[in-house]
Amino acid sequence: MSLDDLYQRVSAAILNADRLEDEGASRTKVRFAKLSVSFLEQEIAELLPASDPEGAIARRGAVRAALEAGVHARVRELVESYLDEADAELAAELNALVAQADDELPARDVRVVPAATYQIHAA
Amino acid sequence: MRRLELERLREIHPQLPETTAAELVFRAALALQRRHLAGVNMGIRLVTMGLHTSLDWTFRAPAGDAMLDRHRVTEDGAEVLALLLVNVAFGWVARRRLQRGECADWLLRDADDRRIALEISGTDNSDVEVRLREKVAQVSKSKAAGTGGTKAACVVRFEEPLALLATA
Repeated sequence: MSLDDLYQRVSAAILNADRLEDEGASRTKVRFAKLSVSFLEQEIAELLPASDPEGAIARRGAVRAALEAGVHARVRELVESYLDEADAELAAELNALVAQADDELPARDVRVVPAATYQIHAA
Repeated sequence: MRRLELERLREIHPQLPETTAAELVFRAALALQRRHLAGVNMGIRLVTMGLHTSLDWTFRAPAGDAMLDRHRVTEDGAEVLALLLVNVAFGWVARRRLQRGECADWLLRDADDRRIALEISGTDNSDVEVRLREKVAQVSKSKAAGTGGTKAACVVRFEEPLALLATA
């Protein structure tokens, strides 16, 4: 997909997510909308270097939208993949988003506690 | 300044998705039709220069209007008027929408391919001077336009149509 196509799609996706948020849509709907934004920003980031201001926008955007979607593992994965090519300023911004994700983690993530049950069968 | 034709939004800003442009213009028409008819004058202040223009649009039946968030309609309407205004005044063309954390709503380009971060705000009848100062302060923090890019804010009021634009 071309950059122009992606820009059209991300513009529509951001406006949709903002509108859902403002109009009090369910948290699930807003999260899905934000996640769509994150994926589109990620695709844009793949086309533009981090040194290009629009490449930096896309990297911040992919991470920020993942954070707002509540997908913290994706936040960390994206930041790890972007840090190598980021300058100091962008790296600081991305790390700040990871820190925000870490702060939110206990309140929003589901903790799965492994448990085992045993049943003794008669021979 | 020549009139602003709302229906030409997509033609002027081809990077806007078609359905998005249609929805924004629909909402702008609803915001204007609360008090006005097509042809209404709008006062403009571009940095320090005062101007007037007229606004043209096709009347929209307000079916479903009650279902729409009033504040959101005002904000969307302001986006349409601001995007048309900056194109007519400066030749700026929308490149992409920005997320809220970028401290600006739109990234645009001028004829020399320089970037502009534009923050837009709409109000029905609030004080636009105060709002403009707030929005200029907000957009001044934006990094979207990169080094050397322009940062601008535009506030639109609908009661007596008025648009103010200032740079950070």
